[in-house]
Amino acid sequence: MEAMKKKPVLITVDGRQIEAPEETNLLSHLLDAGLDIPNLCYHEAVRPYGACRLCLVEVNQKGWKPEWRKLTTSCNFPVLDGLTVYTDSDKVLRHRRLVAELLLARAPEAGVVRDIAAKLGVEDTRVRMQKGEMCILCGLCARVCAEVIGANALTFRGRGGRKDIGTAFVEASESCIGCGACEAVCPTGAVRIEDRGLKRTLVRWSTEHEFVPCRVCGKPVGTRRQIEMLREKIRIEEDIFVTCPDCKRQRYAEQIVAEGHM
Amino acid sequence: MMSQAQLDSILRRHGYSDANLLGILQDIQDRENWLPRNALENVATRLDVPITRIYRLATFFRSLSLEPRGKHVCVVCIGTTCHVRGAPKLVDRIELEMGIKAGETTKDMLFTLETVGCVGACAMGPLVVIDKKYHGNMTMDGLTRLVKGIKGTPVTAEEEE
Amino acid sequence: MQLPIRTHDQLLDAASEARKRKAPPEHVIYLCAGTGCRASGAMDLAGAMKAEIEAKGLGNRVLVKLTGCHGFCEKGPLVVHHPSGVFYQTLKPGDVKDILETTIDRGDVVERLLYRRPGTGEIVRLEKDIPFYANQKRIVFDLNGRIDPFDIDDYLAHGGYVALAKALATEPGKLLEEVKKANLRGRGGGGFPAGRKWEECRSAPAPEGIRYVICNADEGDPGAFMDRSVIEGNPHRVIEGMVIGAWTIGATDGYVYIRHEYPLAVETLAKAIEEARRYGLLGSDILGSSLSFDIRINRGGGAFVCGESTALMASIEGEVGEPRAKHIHTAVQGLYNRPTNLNNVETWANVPLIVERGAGWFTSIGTKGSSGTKIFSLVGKVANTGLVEVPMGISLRSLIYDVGGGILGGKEFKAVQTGGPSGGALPSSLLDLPVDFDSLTRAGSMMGSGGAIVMDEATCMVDVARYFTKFLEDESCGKCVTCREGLRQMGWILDDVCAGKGTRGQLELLGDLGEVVKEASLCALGGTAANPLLSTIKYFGEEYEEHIGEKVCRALVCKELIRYEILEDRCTACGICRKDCPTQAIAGAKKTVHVLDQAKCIKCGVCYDSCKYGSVSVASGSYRRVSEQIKFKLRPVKASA
Repeated sequence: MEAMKKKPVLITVDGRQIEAPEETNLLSHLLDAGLDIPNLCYHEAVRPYGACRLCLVEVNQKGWKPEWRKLTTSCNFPVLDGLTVYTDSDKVLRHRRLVAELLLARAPEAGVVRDIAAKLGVEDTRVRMQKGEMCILCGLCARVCAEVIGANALTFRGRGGRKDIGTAFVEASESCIGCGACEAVCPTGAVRIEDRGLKRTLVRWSTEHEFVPCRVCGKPVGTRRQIEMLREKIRIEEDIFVTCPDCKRQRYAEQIVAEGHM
Repeated sequence: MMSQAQLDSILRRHGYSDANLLGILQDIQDRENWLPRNALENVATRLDVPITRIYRLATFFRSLSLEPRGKHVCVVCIGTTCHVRGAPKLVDRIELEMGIKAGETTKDMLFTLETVGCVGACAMGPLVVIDKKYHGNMTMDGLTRLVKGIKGTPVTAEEEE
Repeated sequence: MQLPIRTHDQLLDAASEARKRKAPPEHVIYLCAGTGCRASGAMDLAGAMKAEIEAKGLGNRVLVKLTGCHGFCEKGPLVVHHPSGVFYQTLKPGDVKDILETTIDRGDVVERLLYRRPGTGEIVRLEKDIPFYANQKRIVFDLNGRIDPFDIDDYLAHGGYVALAKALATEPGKLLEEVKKANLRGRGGGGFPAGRKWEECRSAPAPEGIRYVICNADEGDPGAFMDRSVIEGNPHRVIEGMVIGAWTIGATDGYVYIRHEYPLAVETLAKAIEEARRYGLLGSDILGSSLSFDIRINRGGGAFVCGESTALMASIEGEVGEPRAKHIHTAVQGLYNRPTNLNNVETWANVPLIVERGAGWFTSIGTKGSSGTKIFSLVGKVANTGLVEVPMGISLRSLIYDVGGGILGGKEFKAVQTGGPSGGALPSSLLDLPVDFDSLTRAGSMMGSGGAIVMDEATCMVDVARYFTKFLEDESCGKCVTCREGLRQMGWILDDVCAGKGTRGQLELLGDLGEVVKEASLCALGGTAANPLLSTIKYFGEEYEEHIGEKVCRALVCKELIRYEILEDRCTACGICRKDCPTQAIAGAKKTVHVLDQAKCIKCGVCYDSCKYGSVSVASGSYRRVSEQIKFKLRPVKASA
């Protein structure tokens, strides 16, 4: 919605002119334009973070000397009137490859990291590899939990080389509602959730939840805490909280057949 | 153990503002010598901030400790000047004497060893701060004396020299 | 005295009243009570001195005045006597009687307590003649050894807050022009023209009418303690600078962010702010003007990254110190997204001087591109270590040899490291470089906050690069992959090199890693993190070669590459090394030459340090050093056998 209020301006990307709203983030428009800019920590549902450093591009701003270029991440760089963007210059590619090498060392078993590296021509890494680690500290799980869900169950811990991400005090979280948004946004699959019957276990966060079963078919509808939170936020008919989507569809279909309308 | 009244007075002093969380945590630690978990949970409730935010601050800033600290807190400066004047050897020596690594506390809760990037008395390096008192130009002998003094072990005549 | 002070005339009255009240008695003993001297026992000395003066009934003739840092920390505890100007150093409580009897009673000097020139041993009586001081130009530090930092009257008596009164009677636009003309550049490391930053902040839209000024006192560069001493010695000068800044920029609130490791600075500034408020120099309608402005102190939490301006502001907002990308300057959108002007302590301290004496005076000091002075923390292997204030443009050679007195113990100069972890190490071939912002940056280092760590032949440059890399990895906020992972990998490779496991391929890799960390990181911590590594590779490449190719550490520092040995023809069997060895690796008895078991040796160096007979050697390849011989009493066991 906000983007519609911003003035559309012209920017040049790899020689091509593109129109985009001023001050919106550059990466989203590059991706929309069909450019394959690698990125791992960017997600349109949350504010840009600038952690993975893959979405590097070179820019020249209006008013600069033509040969001046700045290397910057595009996810948190604003669209500016008259901006010139280079997405595949030698410098950009060289640094993207070095970043890929570092990521490969951090999470060698993460498929998406290997894929991105391979596309950049990086098959192997010259630096020391970490074994068994899938998390690249992009922060998406915590950012979504805070900015979208509002549960604030996850956070970064520490700093520097020992930085990590997880729940407060590294134990089962009381704030977690078990919605699974963290798993949905995790780019590498580091966040794993196991659902067995009516029990959900968020493995990485050592947190367990109970599902509320559909009162019709018994399938899980949502976790108890998730439904509590929805109940507080949305004032609608109680039944909807305890009926699974399939049964809801079934019920509405039956209703239409019986009454000729909803 | 901190009472609710004592905690409230700290919060009041900081205007019950979450912008002052760092200052609040520092005041709690100044009183308790560490950050007890229940105090943190209390602050989270009183200020209506997620416990994760407080936990994040407590783990990011090195001056804050989520573990109880010893009666005597010993900080060895490992800044550049102190480093080239032999600070690493002092750290090694204390680790050996006390049986703990930097960042840890002895089991009898007597002694905590910490290292810090610079205490700002660089001309007096290497520097050791014990119980907030600064000891400059620390030598191996001087250190042995200090540490033994804390442990309560007698210092031999040769070491006195 | 009418408090709060509401007019310029009232200020002048308060100042002259203060001068009368503070009129010194016959003798004043300025005793340095900065953090450094406290660490060597200044407070005990002060106690002893006051007690002795009391006992001798000299109370109304002699005043002991505790001041802030004099800068000559190595010679502390120290005092300067008024009116003679005599300087006494490395004092103990036991020296008090001598000083009082000789200098106060007889008007003579206690020779054994005077400064001696290194090399010649020639004594120097007066503070102003000591080369350490004589070669400085102390304008920011002018009052440091003379006023009581806990007493605002002392600052007033010495002309304090006159610049503020002048500023408040001047139109902010004119003040801004003066600061721009003075070419005051940021003293915290960036060297950015303060006037331009002030201007940007002043003209940035502030819909709620709120602008902030911040004083960055998060001096985290190891080896630097200038800002601490400015605040501990003359806190009101910093406050005055900030109020003038607030008036010029149109700011309403000020913050001073002091790092957690400076408790005395926090205490001193807190008292000063309280006094300033009482005197009407902070708060509403300052000095009767339309300016309402106050200052708040925020304590850091032990994070070097909070010296970066966006991280600092995040910390003030109650968040962790994670920097953010700065596509819009903080002068426009900073603290709480409002226009914010952040400057370093020393930068603020220069402001009252510029306002009072004019831009012309300021630019007459220093060089064309870098006007004024700079306070350096001259430490390490230099004879006179401490804080020195010199005009910009002085050569490194002059700084180290004229002011610093040359290398300690007559050893060889190897390098001077400037700019802290963001800077680089410069070799002897660059000693004639002028010390100013641009020359140092061109050489691959930077001025930084002013740390100048002098290193000699006993410093391993590879170890220095490793030290800084590990420091930065630990202090990195950890957000971006390049800084976090890059520094970690660089640290591991340097560990390998220092352990003799390095390869030439790794050197090339270090270059690549350094480059990506430098170019692709989010903030200036990452952006400058590779400087120590890259500058040491550039200027001290042979040491890297030796570590990798020959597994040798010429400075005899890297544990895996050195070997300790007891020299059998010099050992006196005194037994001290055997007793001190933490792993019982030394075998021997009275009258038997001691032998070190290499298998048990952990290279801690305790035997080398504790041997008083010069019988322990440390070697790496063909480089060797023998422990210092201090005692000569006993004869070597082998010789007498």
